[in-house]
Amino acid sequence: MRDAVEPVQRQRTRFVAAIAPILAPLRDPFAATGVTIYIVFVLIAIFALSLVSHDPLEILFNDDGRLVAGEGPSRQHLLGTTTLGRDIFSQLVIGTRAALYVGLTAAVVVALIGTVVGLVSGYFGGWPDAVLMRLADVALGIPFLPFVILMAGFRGPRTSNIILGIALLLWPNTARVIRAQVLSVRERAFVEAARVTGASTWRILFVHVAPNILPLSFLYGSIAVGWAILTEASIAFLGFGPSNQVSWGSMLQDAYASQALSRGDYHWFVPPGLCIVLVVVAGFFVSRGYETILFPKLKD
Amino acid sequence: MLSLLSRFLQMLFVLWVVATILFFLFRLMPGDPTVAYIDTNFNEEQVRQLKKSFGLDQPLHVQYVLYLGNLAVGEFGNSFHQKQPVLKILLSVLPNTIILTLSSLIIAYAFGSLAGAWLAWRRGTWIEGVMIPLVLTLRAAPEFWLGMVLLSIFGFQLGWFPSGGANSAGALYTSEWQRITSADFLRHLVLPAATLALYLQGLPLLLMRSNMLDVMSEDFITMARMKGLSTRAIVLRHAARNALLPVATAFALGFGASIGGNVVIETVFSWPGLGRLLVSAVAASDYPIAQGAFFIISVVLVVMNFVADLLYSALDPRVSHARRG
Amino acid sequence: MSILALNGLRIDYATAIGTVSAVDRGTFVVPRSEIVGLVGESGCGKTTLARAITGVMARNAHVIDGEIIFDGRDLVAATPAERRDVLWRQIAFVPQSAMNALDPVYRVSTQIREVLIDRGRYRRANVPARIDALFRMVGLDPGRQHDYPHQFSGGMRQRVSIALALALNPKLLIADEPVTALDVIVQRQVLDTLRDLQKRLAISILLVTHDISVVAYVCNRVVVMYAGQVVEQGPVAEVLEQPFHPYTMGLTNAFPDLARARDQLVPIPGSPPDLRNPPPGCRFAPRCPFAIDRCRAEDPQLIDVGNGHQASCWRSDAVVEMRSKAKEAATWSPSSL
Repeated sequence: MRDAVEPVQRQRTRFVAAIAPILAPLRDPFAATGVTIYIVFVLIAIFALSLVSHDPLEILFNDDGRLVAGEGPSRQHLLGTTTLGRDIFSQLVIGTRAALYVGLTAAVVVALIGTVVGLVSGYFGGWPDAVLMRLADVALGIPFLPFVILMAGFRGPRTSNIILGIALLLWPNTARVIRAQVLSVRERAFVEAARVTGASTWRILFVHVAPNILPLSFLYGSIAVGWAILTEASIAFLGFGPSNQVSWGSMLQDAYASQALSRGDYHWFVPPGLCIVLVVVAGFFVSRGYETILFPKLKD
Repeated sequence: MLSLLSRFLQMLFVLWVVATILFFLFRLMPGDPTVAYIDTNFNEEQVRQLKKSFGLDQPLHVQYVLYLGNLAVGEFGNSFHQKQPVLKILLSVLPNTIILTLSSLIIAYAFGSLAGAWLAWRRGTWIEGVMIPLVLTLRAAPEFWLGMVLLSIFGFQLGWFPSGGANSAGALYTSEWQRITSADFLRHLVLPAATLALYLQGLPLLLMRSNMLDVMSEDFITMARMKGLSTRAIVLRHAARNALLPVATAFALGFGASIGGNVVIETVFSWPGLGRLLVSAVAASDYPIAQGAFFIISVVLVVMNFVADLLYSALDPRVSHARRG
Repeated sequence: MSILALNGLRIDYATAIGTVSAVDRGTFVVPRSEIVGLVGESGCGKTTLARAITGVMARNAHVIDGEIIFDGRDLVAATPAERRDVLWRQIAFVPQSAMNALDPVYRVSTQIREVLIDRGRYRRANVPARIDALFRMVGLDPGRQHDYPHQFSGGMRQRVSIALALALNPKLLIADEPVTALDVIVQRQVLDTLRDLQKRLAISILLVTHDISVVAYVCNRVVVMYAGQVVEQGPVAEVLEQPFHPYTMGLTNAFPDLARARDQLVPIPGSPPDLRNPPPGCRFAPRCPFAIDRCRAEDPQLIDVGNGHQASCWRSDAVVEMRSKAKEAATWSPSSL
């Protein structure tokens, strides 16, 4: 870059340079597909209230006062009704919110903890590194799903407890990879140069080192979205989810407990599962896009 | 040898920390752990006796030392509801969980590594274009949902397999061995094991494929071709042998992780295993069982992480044999 | 009759950015019981050429034209089965980096045994004695044969590679940069061993290298390649003392003698042409201080210049003048281009 560049413009180019590695992987067809799926589900979640035909928890009755229970798909009820007379399609639409909320929140928290721990551990080394890495060992020695079950079962069936359980155990993988990356980045010339010119440690860490590991954070974040959604669904299926909230996992639990399997009510328990598959696979596809950029040898 | 010892000590350290976390998780639970146990008709003296029998009248640090000592000898106390020693209950369901996990892992890894090697061989073809998204999709599917779909089709609609449990009601066996080798048990095992295998095969498949692609471009594979070795010898003896190293490690790690991850599959298929026990204990606030089941699952996980390390160094001579110059 | 003769070999690489003509005029001979050096800058096609002789090439490399006559048979026209039959039994390969060329998970003895049994039809009982003999032959302690590749030093690994190559008494050994990864002292020891073995076993060796001092040290004959073409070949003394091609003259300036000090090295300015679109005429013309108009228009062919020495240069008539000018550093300064 020439010296004559205006400061504002320079700042903008720096911003572009910083986000370029985050956007670049989206040229990969897999990643583009994943992002498209995400966008569709986000739109569904935002406009959920205008998309639903009924209140997902309302127990519906016919004009003649009979319960609208266990009906197959029809014009009024696109995916039929549950044995308690609730509209399945509306539950499916509203369930998008719970899935995305848990998935994205947990992913952000996991990526954030993992990135900060990885940065600190890799950059400072010494005792902070030793302590943090032993913590990571411990977190990896705790069985994931059983731990989240304990959190939700004993601390109360709240979404926040599920997210907390996920966050407490899922950060070490991210942290380890980022730590390794930081170790190699800190030896590079531009970091060395910044150090020699007397830049402060935090400035070096966040201005010079962090941008180089951001794509990795995104990679692990996009994987964590899927894990978190799967975990939330499992917990809800096991009956430890919030009881007043409709999620795809709780729909599946409802279907399972109401003998939908033995009656072959596929319209009830197939759609929520497919939605989970789509959102999770979108995360996998996006992460594949990052992998092909970050580790080109995997490409062919 | 030294690194082995330090890995072993690290394993013990992790187990100790997990046990400690478990202690505080259960002791600092809202309410007293005996609440669920106490009959409303108990008088004050009975409550005091009960607390004493759980050691809850002692100060916290004394409880902690007692607790660690008990864990070390497998003394997990008595179940609140079943009024039996927790260890006995755990041991009675452990074989079911181990058999389910092992059989599905073996199917998944045998199929996954073969299919992965084959996909590497056919890279760039339409087969790859179809298989990779398919495998990723299977990996993205919640295992309990896969189980529900398979159960509904093959269990209820077609009636090929029983709909749950590990043995038909009323069946009697003279020994545990006779039970788990009975045709009835195996028929019950098919659906849950197939579901788990279907879910687990993605990891070895993708791992094997990318390893094979890496290895096939190594110089020693080119050299093997120059030696005029048969394709069979090149692919199996050299490429697959090298590519299998990380897969073997993943198998050990997978075993540790699956023991705890089976929770949902065991629930779907009413499989009387460790995971289902944990879920029902948490739901019924049966703390001793929940604590014992969680601890056993942790032990298996941590030990298998350690085994994975050992396995890696045993299988890779670059780790196990020192350079001699 | 020579053990190996290449006639007008052409090899193309199909790449995403077009066809690369990696070897265009592969023409040279390897006489029996001689060490022939194949020398040129990296990327000149010498490794492609050497690998083409074994028939084991990159997926996207193809022999377009020409012959590879090995021991009287054309390997280009041979069936895959016939070609495989020759591999290792008659033509063996010593790779550049023995670290990656040996399978890391098998003991060295296992890897030698594999070729002895799979390819050499050895009986199991005879294998240990043969491995012992091979280890002694290349100057290794037979007691180390059960070690894994990573347990050896670089020079020892290269000896293991040579032992592996000699296992089935091949007639021709192709060594691709066999000493490049080693330090100078070890280079010399390995080269001494190679020369010694060539004499004792009366095998022929094609030694591929970018280092003309290696050629001067062990080879009987030399083949000089530039940009996919053989530009000069003949007996080592003849070619190095009396070069006919300006590229050979430049090359001798650019490398130190293994025995002499590394002073006054003069590099050839510029870089090799883009082989997707090679220049018309002589491919060296754009870098040649002696090029005339004809050089840029017509492609010179290999012509006999006497004493079994061939070169492809339009200016052979002015060779004496070129040789004396080529010794001056100023001739090769980039500004003279």
